[in-house]
Amino acid sequence: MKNSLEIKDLNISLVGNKNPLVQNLSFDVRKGKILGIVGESGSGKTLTCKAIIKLLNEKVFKVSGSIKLDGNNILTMSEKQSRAVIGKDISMIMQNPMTAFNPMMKIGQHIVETIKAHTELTKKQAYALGSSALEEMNLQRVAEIMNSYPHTLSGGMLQRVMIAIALMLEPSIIIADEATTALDVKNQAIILEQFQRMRDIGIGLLVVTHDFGVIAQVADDVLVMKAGEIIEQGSVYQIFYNPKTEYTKELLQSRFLVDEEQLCLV
Amino acid sequence: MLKKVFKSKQAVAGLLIILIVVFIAIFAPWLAPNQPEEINPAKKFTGASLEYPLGTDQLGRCIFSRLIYGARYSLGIAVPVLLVLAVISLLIGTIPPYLGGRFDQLFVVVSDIFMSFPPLLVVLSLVGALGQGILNIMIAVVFSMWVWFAKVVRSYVLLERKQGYIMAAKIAGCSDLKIITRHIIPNILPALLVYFSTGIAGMILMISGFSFLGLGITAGVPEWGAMLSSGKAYLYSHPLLLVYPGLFILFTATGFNLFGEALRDIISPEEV
Amino acid sequence: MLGYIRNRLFSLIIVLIGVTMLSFIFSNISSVDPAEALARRSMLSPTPKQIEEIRKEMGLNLPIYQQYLNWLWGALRGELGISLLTRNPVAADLAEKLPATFLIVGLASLWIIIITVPLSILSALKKGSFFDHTLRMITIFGISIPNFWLGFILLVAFAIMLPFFKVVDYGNFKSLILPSFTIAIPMAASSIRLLRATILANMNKDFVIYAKARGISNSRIIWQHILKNSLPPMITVFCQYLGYMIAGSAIVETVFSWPGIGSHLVNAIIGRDLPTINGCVLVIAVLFVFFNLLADLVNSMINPKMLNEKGEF
Repeated sequence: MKNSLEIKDLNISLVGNKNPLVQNLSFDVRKGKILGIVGESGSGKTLTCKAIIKLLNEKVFKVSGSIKLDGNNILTMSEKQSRAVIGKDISMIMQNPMTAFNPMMKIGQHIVETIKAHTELTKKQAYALGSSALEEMNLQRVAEIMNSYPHTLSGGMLQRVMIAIALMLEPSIIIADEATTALDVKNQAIILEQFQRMRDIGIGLLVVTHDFGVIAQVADDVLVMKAGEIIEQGSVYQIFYNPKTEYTKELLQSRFLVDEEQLCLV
Repeated sequence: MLKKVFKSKQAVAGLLIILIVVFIAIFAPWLAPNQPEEINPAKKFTGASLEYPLGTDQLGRCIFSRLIYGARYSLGIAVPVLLVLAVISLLIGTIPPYLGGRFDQLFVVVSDIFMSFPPLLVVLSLVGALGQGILNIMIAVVFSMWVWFAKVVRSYVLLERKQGYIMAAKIAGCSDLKIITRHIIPNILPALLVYFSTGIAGMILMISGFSFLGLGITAGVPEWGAMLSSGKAYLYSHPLLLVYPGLFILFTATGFNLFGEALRDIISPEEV
Repeated sequence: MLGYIRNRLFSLIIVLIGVTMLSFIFSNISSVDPAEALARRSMLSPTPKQIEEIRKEMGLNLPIYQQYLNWLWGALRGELGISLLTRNPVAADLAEKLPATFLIVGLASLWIIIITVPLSILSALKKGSFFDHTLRMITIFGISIPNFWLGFILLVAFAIMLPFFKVVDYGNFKSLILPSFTIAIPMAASSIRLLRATILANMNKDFVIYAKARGISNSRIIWQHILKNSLPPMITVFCQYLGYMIAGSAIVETVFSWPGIGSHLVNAIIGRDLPTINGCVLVIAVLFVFFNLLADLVNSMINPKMLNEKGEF
């Protein structure tokens, strides 16, 4: 199967500081597959995501290596070129839906501005495209949602809107950074279902999380990161049933420990 | 904290200016070459000389000596007023939120009413009523500013009270008084220092503004604002009479503002 | 929305009652007997009997609350008494002076906006640059500069060296420029600092990161996302500045001999003209309250969170 996103020797460090924050990272996200990245906070997973969509401030971070989307290196693109790719070919689902939308803009305005940034569609066509994308997410009363401000919608709804926005321009790669963390169990399940639907239509998915439960449910392959490096990678079965490093074992165990604690509290 | 203050060029520059002005105020009698109020009609508007480093004014008084003594008035009025305001605002800003209920509501209503006046207007109308005089100006400034200071202290107290450690201290059995004096006040003090430092600058400007208007300080007193006021008649013939006192006010206010702003950056670096 | 306006109007009435009371009390704690002051103005050496008559005539023998109510009743009908200095009705004097003050304050507001918006955006975008540092120092000078002194410096610099601006010629647009600039500069300095900080705080918000991740252009992110969200606090502060500038006109109008309400008030204070002091304080305080209300109303109109309190549908 064809690789869609190829990352080679990715190094990230602070400008003027030699200590790398992310070191020699190489991995591929394949079309129609879900790659999970797990690691504790500070392991460099969010930094990696941000590097892929060029969200890191060049004055603060030094990024080297290559990030290729369908063979084109995003890191060497001009700002104009990369902006045409980001949001269209690679889209992103953010961690906290409640704060990711501009509180002073309606949902419809978010959707239309995104479409207009990447296509030649008119406002009317963009509106229609956005509406149908929302409908595909099984959202009811789409016209009403388009016309409402973010604070009037629930977190679960906003997360579905965000997925609709991520999908509507038919990207080849979607990055989900802790996309389920802020949600309750019911909404988590809905989102994970959507992840599987994305895979089925041939999108390559990069799911970043600290939650092994999410990985277990949806991922095909897994990377385990610690202190900016990949310390283990393999299929989801290998990682769960035959972890090679102590660290992965600990991470797996800690998840169950946490669950027990949560049970006690309830 | 102190280390960071000394590392910041801006803070050091501000502190240096403040120290210079304080030094001038304290040692004015030794620094000034002449008596500031000594009138010498024979030597009106003389240029700079060894005897009169910046020349003389319309009454033949030594401008340099008057400027030096002016530091005493600026600081001598602004600092006591600020201290009184600090005490009042710490009392009123911390206690009502703790007592809560009616008492707190009363504070909110009263402060809303007081905040409906621009401070300058309160001082103007109070001086209009109380009459002139340095003490009256000081009373009027305290009266016009207390609510703004108390509101700021209060907002910091309310923010700090939400912190987890205050809850922990409460659970551990600390009394309210202890929480206020041992935990809240020490923790909000740096932020208040910023406000007080920039507050002094504002007060120096305000007070010199009043003496410029001829309110509060009687003509002839070597206060910077008053010097400007008496110099304005000679704006076209001797503009330097106006330039010097203004520069001194600017210098002093800049010192306090530089220091206060640098302190703010050190305390809350995310806002820089 | 309607309920909000109703609440706001109710608290406005309470504040106005407080404001009128305070300004009445302020002017009545004076050590000067207004009846005697008036008597001395009209007669050379008034007898105690004459003073007593004037006291009765002016209602000054009534208990203080009665005096307050009379004054308030008069104020509601637009009667603020007779000025001791000009012998005109105070309200008529004010009506004549206010437009002059509005002119400079209005023009000053324009300068503030023109100066603040581009400079704050530029310095926030180029945070840490030479430009940013320089502007920062300039704004510190701007908030430290004595307003009246700045006025004189501008006077000397422009009106004398470059006699383009006619200074003491009221009614001419050119004569408006210097006073309005003098009033605007300290205000612009502090609003630059505020807007820059607000923009910087918004730049790191999630919604800006998400907009970047959606590939939205930089200019649209700045105008539609960052600036739009920086507007509400700026509107609040700006309306407060309007009130400050009207009070602050006392100083600038004196420098430029501008016949507005500020210099009128200062003259009244020096001349101990109590009815005029009362009237000026009342009008300025009411304007201040009104501008604050205006800020709240504008904000509630542009801020969807206040517009739509219905919550989820």
